[in-house]
Amino acid sequence: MTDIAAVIGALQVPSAAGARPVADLGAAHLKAHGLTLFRGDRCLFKRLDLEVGAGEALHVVGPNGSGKTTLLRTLAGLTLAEDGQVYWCGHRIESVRQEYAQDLAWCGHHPALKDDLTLRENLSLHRRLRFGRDEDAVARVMDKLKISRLSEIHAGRLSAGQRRRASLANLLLSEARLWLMDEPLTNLDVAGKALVKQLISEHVTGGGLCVLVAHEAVEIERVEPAQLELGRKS
Amino acid sequence: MTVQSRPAPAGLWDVWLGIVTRELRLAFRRPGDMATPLIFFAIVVSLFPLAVSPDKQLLMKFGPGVLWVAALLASLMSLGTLYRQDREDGTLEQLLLSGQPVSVLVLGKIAAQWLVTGLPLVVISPIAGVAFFIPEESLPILAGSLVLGTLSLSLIGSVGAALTVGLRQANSLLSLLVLPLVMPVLIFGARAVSLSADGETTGGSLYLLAALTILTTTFSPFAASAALRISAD
Repeated sequence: MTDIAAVIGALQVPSAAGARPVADLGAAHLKAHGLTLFRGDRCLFKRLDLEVGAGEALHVVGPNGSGKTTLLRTLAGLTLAEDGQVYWCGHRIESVRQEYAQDLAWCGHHPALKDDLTLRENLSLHRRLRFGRDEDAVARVMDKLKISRLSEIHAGRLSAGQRRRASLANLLLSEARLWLMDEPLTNLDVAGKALVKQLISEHVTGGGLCVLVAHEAVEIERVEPAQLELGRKS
Repeated sequence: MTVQSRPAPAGLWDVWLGIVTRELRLAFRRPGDMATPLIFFAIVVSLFPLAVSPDKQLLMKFGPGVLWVAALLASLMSLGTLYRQDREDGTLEQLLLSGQPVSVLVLGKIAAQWLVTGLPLVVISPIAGVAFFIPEESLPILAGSLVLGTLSLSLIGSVGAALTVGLRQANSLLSLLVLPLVMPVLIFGARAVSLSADGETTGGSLYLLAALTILTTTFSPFAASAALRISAD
């Protein structure tokens, strides 16, 4: 089994499996061109264009069912658009799938926690899949998000807000340039909401990119998110 | 976050080991789920002599086939849930977007799944073999052929599980998809055991079985990762 894993690695990544180079596609830049998406036979949006550069944020708004989450999934490459193309740093995302995924952190509806594992185990496995074993980074991030005291609690016993914080911890542990966040403010208390906004502010002012989907207006310090409204009758 | 300040991506070996560790840890926190296929195997195997006949000659004749079919169905039981949990709790999306080759992640999941269901079946199969009067010298052949057989079943089944992960009737569909594909495995596996019980050479069947295992190991991780991408859509 182990040899096979190595062989597959060698096939997909030309360099040695142990020390893979950090993918560098150049200046971070997300662009979607002419996206058209249907759900069933209902058109969610047609020929949608958007652009997010380094140090910029995009706030997607729209009523329920207007395709916000689907758009976010399309940007992540999880859902295929009927027409149109998403580009990362000028490359089609299908052609740089692995590099794109390394640059991307996904914070979806579900927090991606295993109920039977403790919070720390969940987070360190998430970290391990991306960068190898690194308990220090996990401890640092848990401190930052003030969830250290929950570290040995099984994820199944966490409250909805605590799970949200845990998925934010996953986001930070990914160390990605592009954050795709689906309703990051739901289930959070006032302090939690402030924390999310602060994290986004730090990320974006530090040169990161953020696309976030949220019903409510999001005011973020030192960041002027561009607005994209979906589901308008035209 | 600049690319340069980021640590290098994890090595594939570490990624594989990480997935295996997680899956094993999850399995051991739910020992009940692990035991179900084993109990199923034991019950099916003991039902046959009751239903047909406790006659020694007869049992010896259909023993290898019964053991193989029971092992096949038992390990199929746990395949349905291989990716379902991951899809429901959002882990699947994170795996697909982890920046690692999905085929390696799939291979890790299959390895762990085999360790918790296939391996225990292999371990208890000689006991079941004795109950069917399979001669002592054929028991290693039984266990060995089941190692290869359950491995290829897990590998083939993972493709079916990946294809059906989002569907409502996933379990019945999975059996319909997978069982026809594992027929060659069943034929060569059961044949090897009955040949050995009759005192004949088993090399041919075992080699073919091993070839099938290598074939499925080579292709199914890629097929399963492609299927997962489709199912995640």
